[in-house]
Amino acid sequence: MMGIILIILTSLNTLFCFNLSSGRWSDATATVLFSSTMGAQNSTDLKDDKWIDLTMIALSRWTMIDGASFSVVHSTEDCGNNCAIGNNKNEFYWVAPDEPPLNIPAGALAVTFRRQFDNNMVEVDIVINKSFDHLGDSGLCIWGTPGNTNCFDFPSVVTHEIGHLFGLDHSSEDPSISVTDPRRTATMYYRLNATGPLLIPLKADDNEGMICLYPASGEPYKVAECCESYNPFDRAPGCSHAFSEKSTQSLDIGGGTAGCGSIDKVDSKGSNNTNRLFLILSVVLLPMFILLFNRFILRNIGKRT
Amino acid sequence: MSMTMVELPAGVMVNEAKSIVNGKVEAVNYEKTSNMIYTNYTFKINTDGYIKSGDINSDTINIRTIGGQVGREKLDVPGFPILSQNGEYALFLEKRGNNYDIYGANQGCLKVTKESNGDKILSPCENEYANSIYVNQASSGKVTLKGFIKKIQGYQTN
Repeated sequence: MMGIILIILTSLNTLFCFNLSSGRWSDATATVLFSSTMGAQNSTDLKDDKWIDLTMIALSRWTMIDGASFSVVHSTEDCGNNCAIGNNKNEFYWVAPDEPPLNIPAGALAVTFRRQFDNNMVEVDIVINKSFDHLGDSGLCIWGTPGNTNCFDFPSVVTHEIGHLFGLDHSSEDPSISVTDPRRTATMYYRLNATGPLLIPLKADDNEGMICLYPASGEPYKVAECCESYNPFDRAPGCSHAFSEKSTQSLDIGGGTAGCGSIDKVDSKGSNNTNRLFLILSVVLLPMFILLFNRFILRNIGKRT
Repeated sequence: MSMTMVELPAGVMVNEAKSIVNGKVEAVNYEKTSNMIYTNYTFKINTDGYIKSGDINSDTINIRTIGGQVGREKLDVPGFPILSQNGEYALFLEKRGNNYDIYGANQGCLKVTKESNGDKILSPCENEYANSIYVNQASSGKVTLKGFIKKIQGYQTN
């Protein structure tokens, strides 16, 4: 009986710590579509659907992390000229800046639109700015191939945006941190330099973020560990910054959503009220239960004798 | 952020933006169309807040940005600015139909706070997207609204 109560309380604790503020794919699966007509047409590095191949390679980087499990299915469907937000399809396509309804802002290389329902991802579209569809002169390219240095590395850009697709935020948005800091070397660092370093391959911080979000074990305990340790001063080893950095910034004393998502209340140390409830129930109910159980036994023994 | 941005040069920011204004957010509401969610801000421009007036001929304008939450559904496009109700801002704007949008997303958005001596101080809406005009000035201390306006006028060619 007591064991059952403890199991229920432990399960509750884990469940409450499971949703992410920035969203998560609840079934760890996403089907992706590309547009061959709304694609790169000028950049010799990317045209003729080469950008699609590079994007698939970028997707596979994220899905081959040891300890994480996420399935990406490449649909044979081509969204053609009908790619849009709101159709429940996860699409990759290129549009001109300021083209309605997306109106991609000036200066944006790529934008990730995430549709969520109750913090569950239902659709993510990654849209690339057509005005960067050229080689050199700050266009999108494969950086480092002969002659390609004055441009933005497409594989880095798309690998970073795909990190957002999975629900990760930035490892850091601090321009002053050391160049050797693991948050800075991560693919999910907020800044991409035109002349490198490249954001690929994925780094430890990126990997840990995926393991937190989509543990291969299929159990949410890893996520719970990250939740419990989530605060800027007490981050557990192995807990990704990309997983929790944004959340710690919005740490809200006294209520709201923070940390790993829809937690009722969060105190200044980042422990949620479910943890507190668990503690109170354990301390108060356990002795009461033992007392009642003893009285019940004694009464029954008394009756028998 | 879910947006990879390149830094827009100061001259481009100033001259490509249709208007640059200083004012307050009076109301925030969300709008869901068949496939998009938008946030509408009713923005009241201060009497001395027409830094570059463009075609604005009213003291109240509607700023419409992509993203927001309606009921349980959310369209999350980090990198697009989120303004607070009653918050004061200096904004670079572009025209979209009858509405305005923030030019350069977060690069065109600066928060305004008032110091005890009455000076209005600027800070980026998101540090990661501080625009080049601000960054330039911030290297030598606090950025006042007055100083910022002067700087903008220096870049203005239209």
